[in-house]
Amino acid sequence: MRVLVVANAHPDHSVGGAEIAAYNLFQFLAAAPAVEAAMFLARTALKSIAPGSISARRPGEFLWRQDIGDWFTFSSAYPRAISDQLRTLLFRHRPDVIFVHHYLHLGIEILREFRRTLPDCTIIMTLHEFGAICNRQGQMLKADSNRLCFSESPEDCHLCFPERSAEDFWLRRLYIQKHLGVVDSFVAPSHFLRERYVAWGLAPERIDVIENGQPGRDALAPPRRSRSRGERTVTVGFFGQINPYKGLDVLLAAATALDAAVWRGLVLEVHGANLDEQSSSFRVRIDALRERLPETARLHWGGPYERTELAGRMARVDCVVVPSIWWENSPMVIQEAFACGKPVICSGIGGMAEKVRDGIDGLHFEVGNPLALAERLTQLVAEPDLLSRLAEGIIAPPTYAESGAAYIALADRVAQVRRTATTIAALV
Amino acid sequence: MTTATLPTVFGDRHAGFAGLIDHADEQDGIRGWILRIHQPNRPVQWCLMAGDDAILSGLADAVRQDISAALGREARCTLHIAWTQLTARAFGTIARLPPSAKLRLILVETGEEVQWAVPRPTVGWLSRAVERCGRPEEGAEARAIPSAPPGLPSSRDFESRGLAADGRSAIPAPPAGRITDDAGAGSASDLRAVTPAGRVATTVPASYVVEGREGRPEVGIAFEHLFVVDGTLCAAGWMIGAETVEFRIGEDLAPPSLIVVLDRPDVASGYGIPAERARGFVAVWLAPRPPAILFATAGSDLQASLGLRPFSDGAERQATDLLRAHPAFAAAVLRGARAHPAWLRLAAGVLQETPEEFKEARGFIEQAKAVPNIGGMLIGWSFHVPPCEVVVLTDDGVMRSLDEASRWTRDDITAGFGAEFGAFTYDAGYLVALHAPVRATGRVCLVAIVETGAYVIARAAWETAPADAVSFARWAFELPTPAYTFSDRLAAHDAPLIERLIKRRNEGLRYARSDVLAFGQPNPDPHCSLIIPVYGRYDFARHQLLSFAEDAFIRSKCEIVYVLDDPRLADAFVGEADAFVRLYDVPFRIVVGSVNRGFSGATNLGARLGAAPRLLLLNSDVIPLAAGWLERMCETLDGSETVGAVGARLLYPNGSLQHEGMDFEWEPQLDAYVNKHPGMGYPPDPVDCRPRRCEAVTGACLLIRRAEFEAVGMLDEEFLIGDFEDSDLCLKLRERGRDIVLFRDLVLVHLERQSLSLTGETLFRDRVVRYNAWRHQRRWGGLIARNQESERGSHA
Repeated sequence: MRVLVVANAHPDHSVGGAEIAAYNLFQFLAAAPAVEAAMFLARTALKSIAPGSISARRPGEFLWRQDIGDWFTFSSAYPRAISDQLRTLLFRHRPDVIFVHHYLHLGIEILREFRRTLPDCTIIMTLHEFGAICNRQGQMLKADSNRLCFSESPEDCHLCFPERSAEDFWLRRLYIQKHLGVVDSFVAPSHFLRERYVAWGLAPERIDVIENGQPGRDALAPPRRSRSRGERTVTVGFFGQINPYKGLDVLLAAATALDAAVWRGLVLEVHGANLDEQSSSFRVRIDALRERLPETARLHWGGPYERTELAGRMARVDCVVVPSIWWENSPMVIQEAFACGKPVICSGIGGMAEKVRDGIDGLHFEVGNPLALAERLTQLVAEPDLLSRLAEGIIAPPTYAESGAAYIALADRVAQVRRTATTIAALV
Repeated sequence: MTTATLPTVFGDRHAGFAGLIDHADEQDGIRGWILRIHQPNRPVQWCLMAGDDAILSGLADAVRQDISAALGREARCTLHIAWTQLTARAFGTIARLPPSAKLRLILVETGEEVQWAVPRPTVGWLSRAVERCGRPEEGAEARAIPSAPPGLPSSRDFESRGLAADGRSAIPAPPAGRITDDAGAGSASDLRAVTPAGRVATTVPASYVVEGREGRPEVGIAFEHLFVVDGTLCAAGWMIGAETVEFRIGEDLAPPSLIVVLDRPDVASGYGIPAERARGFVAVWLAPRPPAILFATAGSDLQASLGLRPFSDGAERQATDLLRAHPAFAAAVLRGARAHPAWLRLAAGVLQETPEEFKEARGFIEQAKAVPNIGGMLIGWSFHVPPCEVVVLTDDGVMRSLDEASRWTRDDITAGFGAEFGAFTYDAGYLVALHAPVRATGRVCLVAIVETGAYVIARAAWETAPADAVSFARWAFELPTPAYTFSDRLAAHDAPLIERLIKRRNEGLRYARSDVLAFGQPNPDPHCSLIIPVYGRYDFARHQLLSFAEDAFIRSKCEIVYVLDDPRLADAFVGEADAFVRLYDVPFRIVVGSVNRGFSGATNLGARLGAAPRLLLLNSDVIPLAAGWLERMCETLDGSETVGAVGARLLYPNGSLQHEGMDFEWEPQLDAYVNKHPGMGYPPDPVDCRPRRCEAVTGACLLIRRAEFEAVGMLDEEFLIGDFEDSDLCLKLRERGRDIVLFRDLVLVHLERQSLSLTGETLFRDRVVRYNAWRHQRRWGGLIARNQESERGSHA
């Protein structure tokens, strides 16, 4: 089997969940016995590469200077490079299977190009978010109020974006669906995401759920911090990007509502990046919340971290909080927490509610409600056994190998179906 | 003293004259000949001059045998000036002039001077000759009668014989001796002794006064003006002892088109008669008549008749003088000569502002805009007290009565003038269009016409109106007339101007450049041409091409022609087109027009370029949902000769029905049938796959044979902004006996905004619909009504 993995970025330059998952899959496939040749094609914005050009990064890995010209329809800024450089690459490599991890930054036209140039190849696409469904960067939150959006429709989308007509949204959906139409099978990292896409119009039989792989438990988890040091302190950590959707403000607001008694048994750690890049109103809000914390509050502001530092930092906490106010798909931080054996307190919606089982390997609270989160934190401090019980409930997330094997199995199955279909077509 | 021996020739043989004066005798007068070379039997008018003063004028109209023999045709060219023809005024002129001044003879029509073959006489010579023959009596005019010299036809002869022989100009004189004895004013013999009746004068002023006992004028008639202006005849003069004047041309009564009778105190005092016995008249004959002698007769029992040939030199100046001197005449012209711009123009030039005491009308021009060579439109207010009439008049003679204006009540005018003028101030608002070419640099005024005169009550300079039909409509349709009268206003005022503007634009568009760009390898022998005009947005093309890419029939058997009707988008669209063909593998062409032609114009342009025998008219915002639709439409069109056009079911993006055939429905507000889409906005009925007949189908997706499309004149390009062209096309087909059919199981999505329904989102849109509906109704109202009648009949 010859495979091509296409990603929206190279982890050398960007550490988003999708590109990491794609690269891990590529590395697994490159080593897999069933794979004859594996190639990794990642979009780049490096100025040293001419727009539209494809350039080798290291053996088997290529960078493609590509971008989006129209974010509304994810249309490429350099469409000629699709029918030119990309077509050439496809002809040269001739993959049997293409694993596409995104169209963001690449241009959704690449999908039809795969099919046009390689009519017999198997195209498997991993859906990482809701961008195809929701023009608001896939957040599925109402534009004005940040209320949760439960289902799209051209008319509702027009209300979020009055400058675009309902007809524009109808065309957008048709356009994206026509391109997705050439894909043989989709992979959703969560059932929640799968159901949203089924509701949007993808046939249920065309979407499988395969969890993103994680490095093995051994690789991630350092020796577990002993909770027998005598003190009754619970350390709760926040990890990841800081932006309005990740709910750090919900966590800080919950902290301001905690009793002084609770603070005697609680430490909060915030390990997050990119606060500087947020809007000033958001930064002001975060600062104001920090100001309002009582004297007794113990808040450790850990700041940004390198990926390699994550395991070490996570080892210091007893549990991880994921207070996102949007749906999330399959947040990497939950997988990472579980890989480290840490229970998770999360908003009780979407991908978070699916991945974290309330009362089994974590706790849910009402999304966006600081008092509900404060109640959960109080509960952790008040019930000494709760954390260890939840930790025991954790099931390790799949490893890269397990996830990769599922991808190969899916590709085999799809290829089988295609062959059968071809045979039947020939008979008829 | 130089003399000529050869005739003088002026001009060429087609429009020239020849002449020579070959005799000048102190007793006999001056003789010679003047010939109209190409029409020898049409007499030429001459004028005898002394220095720069005219002494005498006349026609050289008797046959001259030697010239006739030389030409082989009858030549009326005899010139004979007898001293007895000279009037008292002529003697006055002669007396003023130095005796050494030379006489000249000129052709009135050209001003050329005829040469003399004898020594040229002087004024002194003329004075001596006249003294010898006896001067006419002082104070009388035109009493002298030319006496026929021996050897020449007598005056009586030349009137009856010479004039009767020529069909064009020969007018028999009325019977002589019509003066009767029983007038009571004197004995007939006395009168006859003064002068015979029914003379033909040869110059103006000319008068004929019949005197009674003691030389008192009993009855008289005089011409002071008789001229032809712009093909119409105008006479002015006076009469004594009569209230009316009777005109004849030949023997036929010739009542004037308009006549004004005036007081003439000057004539009365000149003749020493009571003022009421002298009357002036100004009369105009508007119907074109050949140049002729006009006879005017005053009096009934006792009559005075005088004939005169009209002059044409200085006609406009004479007309202007009359109009200026007699306001009542100007009023009569404005009332009676509306189809004669020359008269109206002359009248416009002399009109004065209203006198102080004038209380018959008030008015104002708030806006006056004109498109050169097309017409103009005015809006303002006016009111008048009947029988006063108010008209719009331009200085180039275009006029329209404000009785024809679209009117509405203006509270401001009622409030301002109601106390003084009461109910006459209602309906003061007016909007009126002039449908004749006007000079946009000229002026326009409101004129109040009463019996005694015509006065300017408001003036304005034309402003330039937009010359583009849509821009003009955008301006005009906003003018605030009541909505419920808009249809009437449209027909009476706006529409003729807009129609002309549209026609003019379309003529210009024939010369507009367009470029054709091919993308991909075009189909050499296409089955069907898809003609898709693009305006405003070109991104739909991406979505359409994506759909066409999935339709094998379209990809392999059709050709696609995008007509970019929006030059601003040219670079953007063409720039992306190359990527489209690479990504979608569907060849297409783009016609880039240099101007915006509108939906019809763009479609027709594309249709002319398309090569296939079938044409699919397709809107750029119609997106097919599945393959195969066009192939089935083509099969249906090919399947039956009687099928003229094939349409498809169109849905809105939300799945509700947009179109499955159009009906015509009477819309009382528009006073017209309009296109309705039955079921629009509702969930569509379950499909059935048989084609069904309908009244019409939308042009958003319409398949037609090219030959038939061309035979019916393609899409009508004269609607204002796209509308109704599709039903117009379908009705043209139905007029030829074709059926319009539609498939309900062929579904395409039409992105037309639901909000753009018939009621319109703005006043302008609404009025554009009214205009188009009005035009559609004018053309098809009858056929639609007949179709609906027969439909009802077949149901019964």
